[in-house]
This record gives sequence, C-alpha cells and structure tokens, in this order.
Amino acid sequence: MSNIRISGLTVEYGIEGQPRHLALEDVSFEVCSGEFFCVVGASGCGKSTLVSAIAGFVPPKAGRVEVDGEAIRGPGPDRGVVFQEYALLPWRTVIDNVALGLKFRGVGRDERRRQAAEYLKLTGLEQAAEKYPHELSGGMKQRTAVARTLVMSPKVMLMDEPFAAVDAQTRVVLQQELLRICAAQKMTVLFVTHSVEEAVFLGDRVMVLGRPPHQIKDMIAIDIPREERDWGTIATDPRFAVLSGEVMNRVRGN
Amino acid sequence: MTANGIAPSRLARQAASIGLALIVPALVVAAWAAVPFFVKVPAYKLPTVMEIGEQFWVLTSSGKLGWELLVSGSRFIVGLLLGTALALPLGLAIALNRHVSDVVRPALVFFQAIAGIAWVPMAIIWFGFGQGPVIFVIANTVFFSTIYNVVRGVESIPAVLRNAVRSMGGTGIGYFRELILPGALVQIIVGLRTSMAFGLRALVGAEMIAGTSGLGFMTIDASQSYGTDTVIVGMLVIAVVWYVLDRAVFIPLERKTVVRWGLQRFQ
Repeated sequence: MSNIRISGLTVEYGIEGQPRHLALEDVSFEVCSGEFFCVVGASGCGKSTLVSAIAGFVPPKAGRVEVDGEAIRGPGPDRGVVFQEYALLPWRTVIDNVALGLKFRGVGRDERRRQAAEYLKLTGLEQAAEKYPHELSGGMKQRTAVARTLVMSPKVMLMDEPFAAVDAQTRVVLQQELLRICAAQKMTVLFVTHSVEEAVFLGDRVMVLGRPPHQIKDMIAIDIPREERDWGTIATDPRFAVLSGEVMNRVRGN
Repeated sequence: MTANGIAPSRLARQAASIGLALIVPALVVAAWAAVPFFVKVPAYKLPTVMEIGEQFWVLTSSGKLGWELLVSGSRFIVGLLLGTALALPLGLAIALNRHVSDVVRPALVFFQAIAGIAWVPMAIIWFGFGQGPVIFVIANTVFFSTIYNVVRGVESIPAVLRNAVRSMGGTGIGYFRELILPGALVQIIVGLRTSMAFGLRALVGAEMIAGTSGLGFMTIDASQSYGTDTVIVGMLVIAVVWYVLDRAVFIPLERKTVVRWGLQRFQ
C-alpha cells in the first residue's frame, strides 16, 4: 500500500536579504509500495533537500508530498529517517535509542525494550545493547539508526547517504544486509546517494537527479533480482556493468 | 605480575600519580622551611611550617575550624542551588523562545560584567552584614555563569538531532525531556567546574567584606590582629575544599555523564 507521491515539488532556501537558492523545482515522481527507490546525483543537486521535504523538515514552496495518499504535515514517525550523521542521542544506550520512538508513542518500558531487542537482533546488535553510541564503530551506529527507524514500523524509510561516512568494507556488508532486512520487512525505501554503484546495487529503480530546471534526468529500472544482489558475484555481472555505465552517463552528461 | 616490574598494577600507578602530585607541595614546603636560614623574617609576616601545623591543631580541636567550614559550606550549597534554580528555567526560556531572547539577552550581557563580587555593596545595603549578602553574591555569580551554559547547551544541540527526534514522534514534553534538557545538562556539567570555582571565590570574597562568620571572615578577622597563622590555615583549607570537591564531586559526575556519553575527553 505504502507509496510516496511527489507532485510539482519546489523548495527554496534562503536567508533574509540574500538571493534565494532554488534547491528543487517542479519535481514529480512516485515510489511504489515495497520498492527500493534510489536517487543518485552529484552534490548540490538537491537530493538531500528531497529527503528533508518528504520527512517534513522543510516546508515546500509549491507542490505536494503524499504518503499513502495523505499530504504530509511536518515530521512524523510514519516516515522513518536515517541520516548520514547517524543522529543517535549520545546520552542514551543503544537499546534506549532504539526504544525512544516507542516511548514517544506511549509504549510501556518492558514492552518497548522487548521490541527494541528484537530489532537489535535483526540488525546484529544484541551484544551492543547497553553500550553508548560513542563506543560504537560507524557501521554499528548506522545499524542502530536503522533499527531505531524500523522499530516504529514506518510506512516508508528515507535514507540520506547513510553509508557515506563508513569505511568501504563495512559499507559493502551494510548494503547487503539492508537489502535483506528491507525485503524481509517489505519496507518501502527512498535511498539517496552520490554513488552510482551503490544506487544500482540497491535500487529496484534509480532516479538520476540534476540541478534545476528539469531535474529528473532519467528513471532507470534495475532488472536484477534481489537475490542476485551480492557483491561477490554482481561485480562481474554484465547487467550490473551495463546499468552502472548507463546511470553514470546520465549523472555526468547533463 | 607486578613483582618483576613489567606490568605496573593499578595500585602502583595510583601511588605513582600521588607521588607526582606531591612534588610541587613538597618543594613549596621545603622552600618555606628553608627561608629562616637565609633571611630574618618576623613571625607575623611568615610563620614557620610548624607554627601553621600547631595553629591548625588548635583551630581544629577547639571546633572553630569545623564550625566555620560548616557555615561557609552551607552558604555555598544554598547559593549554588538558588543560582542554578533561577538560571535553569530562564536559560531554557531564552534558548527556546526568540521573544524572550530578544528581551532578556541584552540585559544579561549588560549585567554579566557586574556579576558577583561587584554586588557586595548593594547586598550589604539590602541584607545587612551576615549571611544574607554572602548567599546573594554566590547565587548571583552562579546564576550568570550557569545561565550562559544552559543557553549554549540548548543552542549547540545539532539540527540533525532535532530532526531525528521530531521524526520519531518527539514533540512537546517528550522533545523537551529527551533532547533539550539533556542537551542543556551536558553544557551545565561541562561548565559546572567553572561555575563552582567562581561561586567559591565569591563566597570567600563576600565573607571577607560582608560576613560575620565563615572561612573568609575567619581569615580577614585574624589579619586584623596579625594572626598570620590563622590566615594561612584558612587559605589552605579553602584550597583543600576545592581539591576535594574536584575529586569527590566533579570527576565522578563527569565520569557518569559526559565522559560516559563521549561528549568530553576524560582528564
């Protein structure tokens, strides 16, 4: 059921007295239910603004963002957000970070810790439950952030360059696990990245975003079945090479 | 195995660090004890180490030192609590509301320059001599130091953390309790050492000018009759109080909070 419908979305940034910066101009697209939708583009193309607008952090100047047919009004737990900077509360342990949204929802202490523990297991963090975020590696922090988002059973999960700050080896593992978890949860995902390879590896579809006007450069379906998405084999898969080349061309050639 | 000296045990390391910390005090005491061998100093200008020790014993056994310490300590605690209790809500209001900030901030900057000891004359006029002005001046000092920390603590909460909490459904009271308050607390704890150091100096200074009891009063009162040994005992006790506060209050508090949260390097 979950789907995101963006129509005519325009977002401007600006400080009073200075010329305003047009981050998004008349952008329209849809994300299907259960889809892993990747947005790829060079820095400054407005892809992070897109996440902020769907999350409800910035009000659009024009256009609509609908989730499940309902126009969004501000941030809310129906749209989970995973940030590049992890954004964990430093004064809460891993399990309490994961349980925090449930606390806001009014779930009792034992029940929310039980549910949080379940998602820590899903993301391979059982051992780290009582640690504080600063004691974790970048990869474990981002696992915590994903667990914290999933525990709320959001309609969609928005991910803003979540693996950009983790090392290459960890990133590969996290990408594969993310696919596994999202398939198991039937999660709708909008995933923003500057990495073409990452977008093609993860996405059911890849949208190439450029600067305004006419920002949507292309929409490319990645017809590689999810069970074949494995870095051990996909790197030599001719389909992966062809699609990556295609997306790369669209990112470069405006 | 510590016997062969390859891996020093925790105890050995602690002993070593205590030994290192005692080097400077030992040198000072040695230099002090050596002074009479080189120059002739009248006892009222610089008593000997032994005389200080004797006076310490006299003041302790008579209960005077303990009493003054108790008086000063209770004033310090009352002033500290009062200053913090006033600074916390006002600081939060400034940090959270632009209108409050626009109105209060300029006044705050203005009064910051004359915070603390500069209020002693007015405090004497309002409260008379005794503990009234002393508590007022401590509270005043702590208030200005803490309010700054509260505001800075809330304002230094990263935007991404605010967004994260809001998108988890944190609004109103929940947002305040889970994000704003701990964010302010971090800076209050980090700044507590400075706040309390200012507060302690205000206590001593105010007691010297406006007090009728307490450690600060004891030293200034002794100086009137050249009771130099009592003055030095008083100064040393104040320094020891600070040292004990640092080891027994701040370091454990920091270890349980900001250090545990990775927000400040342990020193």
